[in-house]
Amino acid sequence: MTTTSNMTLIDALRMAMDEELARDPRVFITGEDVGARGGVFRATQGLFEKYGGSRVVDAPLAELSIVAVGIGAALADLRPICEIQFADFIHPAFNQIVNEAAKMYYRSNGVWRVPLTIRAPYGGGISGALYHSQSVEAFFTHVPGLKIVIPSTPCDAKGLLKSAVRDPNPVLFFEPKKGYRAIKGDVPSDEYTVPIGPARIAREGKDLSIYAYGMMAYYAEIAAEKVAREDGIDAEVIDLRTLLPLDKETILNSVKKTGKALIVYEDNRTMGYGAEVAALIADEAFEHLDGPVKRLAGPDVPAMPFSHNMQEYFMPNPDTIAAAIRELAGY
Amino acid sequence: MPSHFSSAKLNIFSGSSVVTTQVPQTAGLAFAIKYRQQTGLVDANDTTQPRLAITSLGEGSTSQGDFHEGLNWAGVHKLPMICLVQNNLYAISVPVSSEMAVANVADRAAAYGIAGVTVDGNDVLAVYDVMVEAVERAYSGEGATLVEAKTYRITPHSSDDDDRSYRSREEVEEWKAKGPIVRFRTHLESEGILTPELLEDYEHRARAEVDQAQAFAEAAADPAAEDALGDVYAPIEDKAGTAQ
Repeated sequence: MTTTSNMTLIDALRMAMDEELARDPRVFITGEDVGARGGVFRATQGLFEKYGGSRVVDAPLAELSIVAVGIGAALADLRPICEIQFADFIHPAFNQIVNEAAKMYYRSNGVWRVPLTIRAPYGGGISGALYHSQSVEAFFTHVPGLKIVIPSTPCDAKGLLKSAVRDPNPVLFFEPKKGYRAIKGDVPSDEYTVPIGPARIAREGKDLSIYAYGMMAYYAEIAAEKVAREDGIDAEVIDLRTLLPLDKETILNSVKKTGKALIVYEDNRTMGYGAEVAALIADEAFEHLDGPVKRLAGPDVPAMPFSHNMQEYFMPNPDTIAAAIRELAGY
Repeated sequence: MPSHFSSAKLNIFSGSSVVTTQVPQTAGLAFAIKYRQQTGLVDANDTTQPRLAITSLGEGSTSQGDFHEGLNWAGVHKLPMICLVQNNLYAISVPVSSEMAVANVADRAAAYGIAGVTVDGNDVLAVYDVMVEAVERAYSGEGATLVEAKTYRITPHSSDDDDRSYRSREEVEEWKAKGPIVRFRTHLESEGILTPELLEDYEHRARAEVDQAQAFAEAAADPAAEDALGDVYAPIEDKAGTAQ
């Protein structure tokens, strides 16, 4: 198997789409500016030229219809990859995702499937301000029938996106946009998939468990190395990768070993994804706990501000994560 | 599930209770038809394959954004689609004058670059003719049609709705007399096609079919309570997840 080293996250995503378009003629891409422009982040660059306008389809500037047309095409057994340009703009399609895509299989007693992939860059850190920085995953992780995937490495990005395209269910695939070019890694050039569901133990450790996904998983690994070096703290990092359905076993096994849990997410703290992980641990690993279950998250303000200082204050980073590790380790 | 029935065999998809979501989805179904033809997955002349997608809705739900976005796709991609609107003059209690400023729903077709036709929805043969044209338009690659059938809802919206609070009995009676079933029956009788014997036979068979369906439903066992947990995710090993 040949491997491309130092590949960026976004190049790995493009490779996944390229391979799936080549593999299955039912696969097509639609979204705003995905055609000749190659997407505003260049995720689909070159695919329009390679596969043509019938399969890489520029959509009207209307997110509801991008998703709804995807649902219809998926019902007709095609394999749409719908791009929402920024996760912040997915809200007009909320009804189609939550009331239609998520419920179709259930409401038809298993007759109609919606094999739909919705890709959306999410999260802050690129000076995107209020409407180009949002983390929207918690709205959707509350909805059975959906699968929610957030990769943090190029290898996973490729393998998970290929699994999403092949999955017979609607998959929301949120991509940490700050990591598009910042996160690099080895990516096999050959055919492989990463299954939707299992979490990844990004770093083994014995002192405490960090649970994160997306950009925060990337930062958590950096923070774990820092505290190992500077403080001799041996943190385990669990990259959740799939937020729904949740890999409870890996989450619980880790905290049962370390006795302490820190959950990191950049979304607003209250009712965010960390609350569910904390509740799970409290419920099913209580007697193994050796400290409070802690959350490090964004503040409860309506959105991420534009000012650089305020943006950096909003987002957890390797330093604030390291500080939270030290505090919990010392409990 | 009740109210969301479907038939895979007949290509009838499951409808929602959230109005108009099906319009852009139908554009997606029509898009898939055109996609398969354009990419060579099927032969455009293969009459065993679906060649158009159709949805129907009331005029009330044409106020939703889904209606606009769905028909916009249909127009941009010249999709083989028919959107059949039954304009029955009321969205539950809200009269059409409070729903839209245009005289006809079909007038909106111009905004999407698709054909728009208004027809007397209580005239069975006129509706048939308009629908044949719409089907031919879709088959010949000429794009979508917005058909508006003007009609009337002769019953309250639901068993809970008391329509006496918003419309007169005289109005309802007037429309009942113009109802499509009565009107078409009179037409067939005047043409000598529908004889009293034939009519009695039809009515008897229709009643028997409904009675039979009711008896079947009442005799069916209730589902097990824990069936509530079923069919959340399609299994991954399902053939839908693999390449053709």
